[in-house]
Amino acid sequence: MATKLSSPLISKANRHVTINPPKMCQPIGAMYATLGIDKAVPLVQGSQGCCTYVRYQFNRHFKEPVNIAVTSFHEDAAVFGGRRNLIEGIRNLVFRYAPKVIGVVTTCSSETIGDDIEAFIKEAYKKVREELGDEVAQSVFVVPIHTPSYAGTHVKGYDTATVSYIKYFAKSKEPNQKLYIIPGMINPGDIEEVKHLLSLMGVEYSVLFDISKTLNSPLMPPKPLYPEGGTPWQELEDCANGKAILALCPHAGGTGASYLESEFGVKSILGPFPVGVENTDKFIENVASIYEIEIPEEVKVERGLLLDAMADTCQYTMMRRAAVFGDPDIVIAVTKFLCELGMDVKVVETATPSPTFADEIKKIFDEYNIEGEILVDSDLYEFEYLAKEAGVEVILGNSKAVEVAKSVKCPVVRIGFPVYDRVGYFRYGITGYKGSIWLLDLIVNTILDYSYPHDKLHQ
Amino acid sequence: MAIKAFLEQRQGHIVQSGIPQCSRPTIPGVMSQRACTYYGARWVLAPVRNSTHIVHAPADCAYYGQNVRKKNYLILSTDMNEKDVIFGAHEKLERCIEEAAKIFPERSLIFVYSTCISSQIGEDIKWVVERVKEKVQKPVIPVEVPGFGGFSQSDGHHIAQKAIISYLSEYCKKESTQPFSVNIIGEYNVAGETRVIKKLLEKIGIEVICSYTGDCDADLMQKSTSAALNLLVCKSSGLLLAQFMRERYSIPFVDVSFYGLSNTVNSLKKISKFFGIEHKVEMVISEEYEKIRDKLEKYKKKIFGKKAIILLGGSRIGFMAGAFKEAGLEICVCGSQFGCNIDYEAARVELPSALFIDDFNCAEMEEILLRIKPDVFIGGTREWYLAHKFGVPFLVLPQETKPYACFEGFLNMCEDLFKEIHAPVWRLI
Repeated sequence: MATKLSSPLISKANRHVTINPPKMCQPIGAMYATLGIDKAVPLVQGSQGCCTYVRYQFNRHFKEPVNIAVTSFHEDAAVFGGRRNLIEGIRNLVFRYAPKVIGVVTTCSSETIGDDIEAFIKEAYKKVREELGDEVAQSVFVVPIHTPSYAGTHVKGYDTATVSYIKYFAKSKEPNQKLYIIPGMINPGDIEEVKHLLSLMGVEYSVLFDISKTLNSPLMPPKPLYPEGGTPWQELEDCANGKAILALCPHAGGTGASYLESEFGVKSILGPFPVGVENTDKFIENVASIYEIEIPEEVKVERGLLLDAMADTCQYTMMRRAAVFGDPDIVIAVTKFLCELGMDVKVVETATPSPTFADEIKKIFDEYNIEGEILVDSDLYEFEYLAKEAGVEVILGNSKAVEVAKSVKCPVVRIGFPVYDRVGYFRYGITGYKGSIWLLDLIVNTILDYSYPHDKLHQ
Repeated sequence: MAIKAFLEQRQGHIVQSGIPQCSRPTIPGVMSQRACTYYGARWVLAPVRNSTHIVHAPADCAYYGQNVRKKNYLILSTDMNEKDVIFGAHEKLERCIEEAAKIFPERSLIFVYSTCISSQIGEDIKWVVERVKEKVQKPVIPVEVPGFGGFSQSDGHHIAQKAIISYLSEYCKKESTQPFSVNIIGEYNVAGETRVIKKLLEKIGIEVICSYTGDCDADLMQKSTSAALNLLVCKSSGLLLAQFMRERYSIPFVDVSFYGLSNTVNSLKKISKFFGIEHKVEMVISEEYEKIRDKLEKYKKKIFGKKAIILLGGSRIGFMAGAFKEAGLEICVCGSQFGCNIDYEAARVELPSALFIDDFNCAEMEEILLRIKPDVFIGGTREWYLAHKFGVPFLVLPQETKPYACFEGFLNMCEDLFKEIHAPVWRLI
């Protein structure tokens, strides 16, 4: 790779400095998971920026208000510790918002000063009992989630949150027949598509950390204090007794699923993220084999519709040079789909360190006879250079791709989180056969709009 | 109208007359809208052109700080990991600054930020910067902004100004005064406002040299020492710098506002009085007003008397309240996240009977929306979608659409208010 670069400092492996990082902090992942629980409020144990910046990402991507509170570290907390802040913060939050679940999300500052979060939470319960009564104290669950941002990216934060919540709540009771899903950091539209497929298969399911309604709520005054539709805490309790648990994104939720298997014997399946033909096939087969059912006709028809759409557009997609960046599971799944479309994937990147990412991508490249660059734990500077060198014709990524695409001179297909320079992407899923059709249409129409801006269609 | 605070400590911050308590520590857990010191520093320093910004922190502080006022800027990070936090990362920072200078040789300034974690483990970025300045042969400016370093982003504004001040002290010598020239301080080129203000001042024969930091780079900062007058728009993020330039370069400053017609006219008169060119101003004012008069009357008629809530940053409540009043809105609630006494006093002059609320939080906003039922809510991105859920139209600042400064900007602002308030969706709920 070094021989292709005009200067060795372009490769992230040869330098210390990170230029235009496409990764976020652990706390935002933990907050993403918490916002999917019914009547849950994330409480950030740290500085106000850790809360404000995160709220901006959510507000701009989902165009929804989000309730995230912070214990507001000022200088005294950074020196003496955040005990007073956390205890007061929990008390004030319970007093005004009466949440069912409070996820205490730690940050760099609180982890470094060594805050004993579990002990502080016990004291906070005591304070709530004294000031607001026993009943109030018993009606709220305060769950500590340890997420220092120097020890992982947002993907790890989500992962850590899933295992923290499941550890806290899961309880052995009578077995049930449900399939539990941990979605990962994906859009409401993605979750709705997965639910649609599971309904077609007639399977009883429960989505844990379900943001499909809490982060996509209607304009219907009066506004409820909490958005409807999140996962009730009782589901988190009952998941210990389920038939199986499926983490759609192994890097973001796999640890929670594996924990459930090792502690409670619930069968866990890790991925693949169901985008494209073969990934969705695998997802359907996994579900069918768990419940020993036949794949229904309607699902086969949807598959046929996707194949039809692919056939109709292969003249536009075949051998088009593409580049993708984002979260590891989403990138692996989308890369496979692009290869299924015949695209020539030139550069693939994730900023999340992952022991399996490079191997998975290599497998896909080998299967489709593709030679592309695989970047792990890199930044957008290297990505931009390699995409430009390769003459990439379309870039798939979140809104950070726009600046890169200006330099590479190609269009952007927006996937992932956050997408803040266009509207509505969170509403539509790229999962399942129908979602893959939507993604395919988006890719082809974007390429056509860019290549033929005056609508002079070639013949 | 009494809004009862749900916490006793909040009562002094919500007042119907006089100035609320302000600049206090944030109460934990109330869902305050305040941000951190690093956020404030990025707000001021990000638009400086031709400069490299290195954040000595885990990569996410850089990720979030990359986007300021909805524009993306180049951002670098030392991406501190667990090992760096345990063993320290002075050497890594030094390497990063050297590499940045090598990869971006055309950029003439380097800003180095330290945030929560680098401050907490005692990373001395000033020491590293001193060591590395000679090696890279360009100005390297440390900006120490741990997120917990103050009560809100306004402390970040001050530290950022001090960083610019330290750069000017060290590298910018006074040049001989250019007649009929000004700098603008506390103006950030939101949606292209710098160009609009420059055009208007050119009409009365005044040249704008540098706008801190809406139109600013190393060369312009050097040239800015030759201005005859400084125009201070935003006190919270510009007063320190204006005072410094008065002491050091003997450049006096005047408070101006280019939002709203009377504010703009008064500012033009103030500036022209200083330069002794009052005779030029009357013609320019009537010319500009004629251009927008017809459309403006049309929009003002449609938004006259509408009840408004304005919950903004700090100094904005002072220099923009007049503009909204002039547009015909009846402002019944005015608040800010981090305003200080000066800001509230300036706002109280414009709004003698409005309810003032300091460091507003989500719960109080919901109370206000339910009880007061305004016709329009003017605020920032985080309040935007909350207002919509209550069926209340919203105008977001800083805006994404068009400039709101000077005459044409006032027309744009009234047009945007009209668009928000009269969108058919509100009737269909």
